[in-house]
Amino acid sequence: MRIDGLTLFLVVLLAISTPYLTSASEPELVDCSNLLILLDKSLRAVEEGEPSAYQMIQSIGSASIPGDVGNLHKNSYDLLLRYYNLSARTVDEALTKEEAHRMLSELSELHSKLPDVISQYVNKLSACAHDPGLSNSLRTSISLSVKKISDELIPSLTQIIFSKYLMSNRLIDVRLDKEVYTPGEPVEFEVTLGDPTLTLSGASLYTWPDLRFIEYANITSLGGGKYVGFLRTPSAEFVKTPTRSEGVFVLIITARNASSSENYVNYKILKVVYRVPKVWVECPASIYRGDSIELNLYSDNYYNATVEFGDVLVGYLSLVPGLTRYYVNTSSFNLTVGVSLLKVSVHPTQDSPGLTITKPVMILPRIPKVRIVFPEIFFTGDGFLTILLINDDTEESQLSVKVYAGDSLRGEYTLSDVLVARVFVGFFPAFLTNLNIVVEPTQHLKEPYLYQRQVFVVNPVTTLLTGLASIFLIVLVSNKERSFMIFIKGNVVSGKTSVKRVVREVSSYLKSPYPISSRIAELYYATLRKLGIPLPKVTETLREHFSRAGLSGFLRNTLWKLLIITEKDLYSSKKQDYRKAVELAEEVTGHEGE
Amino acid sequence: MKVSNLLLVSLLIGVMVGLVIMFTLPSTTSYSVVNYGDNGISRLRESYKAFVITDLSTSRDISPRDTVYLIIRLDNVTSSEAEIILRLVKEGGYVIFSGGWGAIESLNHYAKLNLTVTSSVIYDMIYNGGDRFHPLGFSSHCNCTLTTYTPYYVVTDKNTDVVVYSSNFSYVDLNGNGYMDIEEPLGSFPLGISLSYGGGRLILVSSPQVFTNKLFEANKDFIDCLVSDRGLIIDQSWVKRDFIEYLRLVTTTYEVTYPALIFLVSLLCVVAYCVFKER
Repeated sequence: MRIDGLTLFLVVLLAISTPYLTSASEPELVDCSNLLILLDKSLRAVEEGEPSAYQMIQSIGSASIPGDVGNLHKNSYDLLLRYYNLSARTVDEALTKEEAHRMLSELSELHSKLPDVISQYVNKLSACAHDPGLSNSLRTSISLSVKKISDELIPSLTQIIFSKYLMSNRLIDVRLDKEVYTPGEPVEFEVTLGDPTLTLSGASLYTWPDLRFIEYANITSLGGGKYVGFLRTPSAEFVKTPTRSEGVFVLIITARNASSSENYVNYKILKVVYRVPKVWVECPASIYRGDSIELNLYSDNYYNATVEFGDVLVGYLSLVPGLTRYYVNTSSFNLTVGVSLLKVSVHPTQDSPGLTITKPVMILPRIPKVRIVFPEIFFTGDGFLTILLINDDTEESQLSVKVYAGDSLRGEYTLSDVLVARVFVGFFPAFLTNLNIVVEPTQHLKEPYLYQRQVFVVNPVTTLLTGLASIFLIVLVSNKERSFMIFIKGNVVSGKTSVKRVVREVSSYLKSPYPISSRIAELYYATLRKLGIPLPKVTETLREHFSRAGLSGFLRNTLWKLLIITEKDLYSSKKQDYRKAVELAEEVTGHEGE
Repeated sequence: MKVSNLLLVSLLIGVMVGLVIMFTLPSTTSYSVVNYGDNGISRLRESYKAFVITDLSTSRDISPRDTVYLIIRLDNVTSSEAEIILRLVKEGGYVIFSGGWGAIESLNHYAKLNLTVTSSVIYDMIYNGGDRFHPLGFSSHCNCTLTTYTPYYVVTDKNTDVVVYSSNFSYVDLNGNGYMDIEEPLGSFPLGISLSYGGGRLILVSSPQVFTNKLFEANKDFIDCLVSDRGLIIDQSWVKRDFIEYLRLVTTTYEVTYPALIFLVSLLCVVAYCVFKER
C-alpha cells in the first residue's frame, strides 16, 4: 500500500509539474551561438589579414559579456588583438633590435597561450549553445583557424622578424627595385649571398598573412654569390578583401649551405596597389512569393558576376559601365516566407579583386486577392449571417472558402466571382463570436488567406422571446422570493421552525390580492386566510374588519396584538420586529388548529 | 425590500471602496503617464511638460507645425486613427509612433507606408544597453545613441530615411527561438525610420520601451533631438479602456487630491444610501 501511495503521489506530482517542465523557457542572457559565430568570423578576418579585422576584434573584445564566459571572451580577443598588432607592425614599421626582441617574445607567448585560451572559450560556448550541430561545425572551423594562426602564421611572422631585424643581412641580402607595384608589373630583385659556401636554392612569392603560394621567381646567377630574380606581381584574384586597395605579399628567399645542409631564409614584403571595384546593387526590400526581382546594378567598369538567391545559383551576368538591369525569376524556387539573401559576386579581374554584395529580401506570403465584406454587428432573425466575398484575383478562377464561427466549421463554399455565404451561428439572443474565413488558393505558390474578425450577433426575435419568458418567470417566482425572505428572517435567524414547514405554509397562504409594502401586513393577511376569515375590503380599515369578524377569547387577543403591529409597520416610520409578528401568527394559527 | 436595499447599498459601498483602493494603488500600466515605475512614461511627461490627450481627434485644436506627437500603442490602430496621424504629419507635425509589431504593421497597412514589418526581433551581444535584449542604436541625425528593447525588424528600401541603426554585430532572430542560427542575418539593421509627408515627419521606432522611465535617461539626447523646440503631446487614448487608469489620468490632469476624491466617493455613498432608503 505504501508503494502504491508513493507511486500515486509521484504520478500526481509529475502531472502537476508537467506544464512547468515543458513550458518554453525565456532565452538566456548570453547567446553562446552568436559568440561562436562572431569568434569564427573574427578568426577568419585575422587569418586573412582583413583591414576591418582590427575594428572587429577590438569592438567584440571590449563588449561586457555577463557570466563565466566574460573573462574567457576578453582574454581570447585580447590575444587576437595582440597578434593582429604584431602582424601589422611587422609589415608597416621599421623596428629597432630591442623592439624586434620584444615582439619575438610576445609571439612566443602568443604561440603558447592562444590555442589554450581559445579552446577553453570555445568549450564554454559550446556547452551553452542552443544548437549542438551548429556549435560542432563552428568548433571545427574555429580550431582550423586557430591551428593555422598558431602553427603557420606565428612561426612565419617569427621568422620574418628574425631574418629582417636580427639576422645578419650579410648572409642573404635582397634588394627590390621599388616597394609598391601595380598588378602584373615585372619585379626585379638582386640577391647577394654573404658566404661563398651558400647557394641560392629558391625564391617564391606568397600571400600575406595567410601564406598561400603564388609563384616561383626566375633566378639567374651572375657569379660571385650574386643573383638576379624576376617575377610578375600577382593578379587581383589573390586579394580576398575588395575594400583594401593594397595587396601585401611576401617574397621568401632561401639559401643552402651545401656542406652543412643548413638552410637560410630571408623575407621581403612586397606591396601591390589594386583598383577597388565600384558596384552597387539595388533590389526591392520585399517581394511576394514567386514574384520576379528586378536588379539594378551600377558599375564603374566591365565585370563578370554571378547572382545567387537563397543559396541557389540564379545565373551569370556581364556588368557594363553604368546601369545593368537583371531579372531574377523566383517562381521555380521553393522559397519560404521570411528573409532570403540575394548575393551578387563580382569576379576578380587582373587589376581589381572580387566583390560580394549581399542584400536581404523579405519573401511575403502570396495570398489570393479576395474582398470580404460584413458588418461588425449582425442583426439576424433566423440565426444566419450573410457574408459577401468578392474575388479580385485574376489568376484564380475558383477558390475554396471555409467559414468558421469560433472553432467550428459552419460552411464550405466555392468562390468564382462573387459569393454570398449564409452561415448559421445559432439562435442565442446576443453573443460575440470570432468569424474565421479561410480562402484556399489553387496555385501552389500561394498561401491560404486567413481573415479573422470578432463580430457581435443580435437576434431580435429570440431577444424578444427571451425577454418575455424572463418577465413570465419573474412573475412566476416572485412569491417564492418572498417566501425565501420570510424564511430567512423568521426561521434561520430564530431557528424555531423547520425550513420545509414554513416555506410550505407561507407559500400556500401568501395569496395577497393587493400590493402591500409591509411584510407584516402580508403575514397578517396570510393568517386571516388560514383562519378562514374573509379578507378586509378595500373600503374598510383593519380595525373595522377586525370588529366585524366577531372573534373572541385567546384568538381575538392574539390577533389584535398582530393587528396593532401590522398597523404600526404599515403607517409608522419605524418598522416593527418581524420575528414577533411571525410568533404571533404562529400562536394564532396553532391555537386555531387545536 | 429592506434586506434587498441593504444588500444593494452594501454592494455599492463595497464597489466604491474597492475603486478607491484600486485608484490609490500606484499604476503599473505600461506606457502610462501616471505610471512612475520602470515601464511608465511619467518622466517624459514631466521633463517636457507634455500635454496629454485621450482622444487623437482633439489634437486638431493644436497647431501641428509647433508640435511633436508621441503615440505608443501595443494594439492595432484603426483606419481613422491612421488617417489622423497622416493628416497631422501632412500639416507639418512630427509624429513619433512606437509600439508592438501589430501596432506598427496596422499603421503601415492603413497609412500605406510600403514598409515590411516583421515580427522578428533584433538582438545584439556586443553593443547593447546592459544585455543583448537591449540593442544599442546609433543615430547619425542626432549624433547620439539609442537604447532599445527587443526591437522589431523592419525591412526598408534605399529611399527610406533610417534615423537609427543597430551595430554591425546585431542579428535578426528570424525563427523566433531567441538565439542566433547560422542562416540568420548578422549586421546593421534599422531601429528608427523617418518618413516625410508634406511638411512633417513620421518617425517610427520599433521598440516602444525607448520612452519608458527605465530608459529615459539613456535616451534623453535622442528625445531632445526629436522634440527640439516644439511642444510635446502624448497620446493616451488607449487608456480609456482601463477605467481605473483613466481615473488616475483624469485626477492628475485636473489635480484632484486623494482626500478630495475620498470625500467625493463618501458623499456619493451617502447619497446612494439615502436614495435607496427613501425608496
